[in-house]
Amino acid sequence: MSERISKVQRWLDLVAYLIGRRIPVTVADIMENVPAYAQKWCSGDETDQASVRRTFERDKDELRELGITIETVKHPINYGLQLIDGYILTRRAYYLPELKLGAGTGSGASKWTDKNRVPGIELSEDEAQAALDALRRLMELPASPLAREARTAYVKLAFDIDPDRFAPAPVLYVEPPGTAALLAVLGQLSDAIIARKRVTFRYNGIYRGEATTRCVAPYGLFFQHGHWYLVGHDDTRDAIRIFRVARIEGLSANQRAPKTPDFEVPPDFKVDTYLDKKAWNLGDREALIRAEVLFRYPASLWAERCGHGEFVEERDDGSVVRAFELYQVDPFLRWLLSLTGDAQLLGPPELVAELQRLVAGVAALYADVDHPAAEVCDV
Amino acid sequence: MSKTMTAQEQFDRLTTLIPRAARSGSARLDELAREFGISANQLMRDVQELVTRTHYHPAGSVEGIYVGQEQDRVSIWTTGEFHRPRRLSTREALALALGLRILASESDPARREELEALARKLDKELAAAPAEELTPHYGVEDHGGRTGIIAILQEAARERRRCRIEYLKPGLTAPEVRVISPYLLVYAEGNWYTLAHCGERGAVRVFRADRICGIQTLEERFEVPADFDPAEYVGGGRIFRAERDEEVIVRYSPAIARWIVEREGVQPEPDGSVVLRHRVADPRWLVRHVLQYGAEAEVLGPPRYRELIRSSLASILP
Repeated sequence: MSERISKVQRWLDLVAYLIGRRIPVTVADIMENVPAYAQKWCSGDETDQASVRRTFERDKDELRELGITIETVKHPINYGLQLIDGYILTRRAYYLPELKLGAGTGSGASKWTDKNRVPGIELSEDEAQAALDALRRLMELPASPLAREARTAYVKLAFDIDPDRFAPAPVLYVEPPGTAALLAVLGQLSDAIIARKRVTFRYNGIYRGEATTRCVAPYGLFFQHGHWYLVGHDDTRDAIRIFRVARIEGLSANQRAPKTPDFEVPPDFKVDTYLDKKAWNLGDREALIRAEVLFRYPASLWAERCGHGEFVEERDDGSVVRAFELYQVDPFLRWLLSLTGDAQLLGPPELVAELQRLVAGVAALYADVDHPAAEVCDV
Repeated sequence: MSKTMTAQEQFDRLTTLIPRAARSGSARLDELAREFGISANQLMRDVQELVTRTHYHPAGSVEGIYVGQEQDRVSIWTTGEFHRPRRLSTREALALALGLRILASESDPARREELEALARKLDKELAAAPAEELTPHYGVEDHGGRTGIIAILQEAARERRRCRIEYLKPGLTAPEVRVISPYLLVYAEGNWYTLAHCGERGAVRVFRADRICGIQTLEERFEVPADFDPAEYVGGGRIFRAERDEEVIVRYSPAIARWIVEREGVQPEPDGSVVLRHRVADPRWLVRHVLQYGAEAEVLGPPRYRELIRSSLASILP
């Protein structure tokens, strides 16, 4: 046989040969029966045989990365008098459990003792719909770094669960300009997070106004306010930093020793810790200011609904005082300004004075306006 | 992308494609390409990997995968293994877990717990190697709060049931009660909205979800009109109301021009400032938008919008 056999074909042949066998097979069996190996193995040349054995080891490693673990087991032969190394890939380990739609929830995979039978798992209609919805959402999330995986997972689940049975929730993500360009960057960052490889990039920090080169141990990614953010240990600053992915340019991951992680992530790391931080909560923690704001009714309901600040007191007219901890004053005051009178800053006095200066600065831009009170159209 | 990664992706697709196509006997190539999110050419290359195996496999050897190709269809039979998809890879399990967290982040606390439990169950049962170690590295913002209004709106939109909402319009003295038919949930600029027919206004309106402070799903159902087109309400990464819009010119100072250039993808003026023409359907949006930049953004016209900013300032200080 002299046909060129691709790596994908070799993997298919190897898996097809191993899967479902009840008795472990020896390496010699594999070498003789998987065509790509047999081409060299059967030549009898020791160098070729050593080379093809190394290929087999690499294939096992790469298949393991895909979630296919070919187990090495000690296998008795000669009526148990001798133990040899054998390889096995059970159906239970390989195949997706059969998803059975039922009313019950919480039941896990059935407890098959036979490892060569495909297990079943019962899902309620609600659970099945949630699983399909979840994968659809991740496919549609702008620049989702896991969209491809969500799609293939969806096809797998759809093998047992008829998607037509569950109408998709009518949801539309409006992609911000530049989303398509982010896909490759996010894919690379996601790969680097999973492999724990350092990345280097130029970062156009919005406050600095100039690009700086950063070397970062990437810990996590999150999606917030329509943007993706990277959290990582910035080796240049020797501290954890958050980077907006859209401001990253010239990204490259460390290609050396791809199978060996470059760094350890702190064991208590959770990317959620960095989520939902307001602009006024970023910065130097020693510069803390506690501000109190009165939200007039019904904006008080909105502030509660959105979790803005901490509740202090409710007044008879339904307005509510809420407290904020500020590390940066300017973004907070500009936010209050945008609420156009639904919120009133109560204190501290120096902050109120700062707001007055801000309002005066804006008013100066409109000094030529004599007749206020324009009509506001309805929603 | 490395050669190994490409091979792994192709192997991954093939081990799903074989049972998928074999189950239905044959399938249209374009349909399969759409399902897998790849081009028809890539799908053909995948199928070719199966076809050329017959060149080196003696008849009847190994697992017996047979492939037939017509012009726009592919037929696959498998007499042995590959009759089901394989378990989820760790990354697929991660995608499923993150997707469920997105749904959880839009739900009330009780539903959130259910979805988190489901994520754990599916990770444990379906994945070849669980993704639990990776999930803390991926996150999404929280939109659920105590009420899970976004999840309720989604279900109402899916089931096409009207809702009674209490809506907080900025500047009003009390929430307004509206009966709406939610056609679509839209995420834009970091906020959730619903495009809904408003019974009180007799027309489609945009409602921002964080301004809905109460919601009740009604028994009454609705139909989405055949001529409803979401594209009329979105553009340039934003959501807006298409009718009654007006062009408003805003100048952003050089101090904040970087933000605007980044977001809008525009070029600054020679003095470093940025001038944009916004299509404005809701003047309140314009006021909030401009004032968030303090004195660094100024409405240049039309004059009534300058008046509006000036009058809004009067209500900010006690």
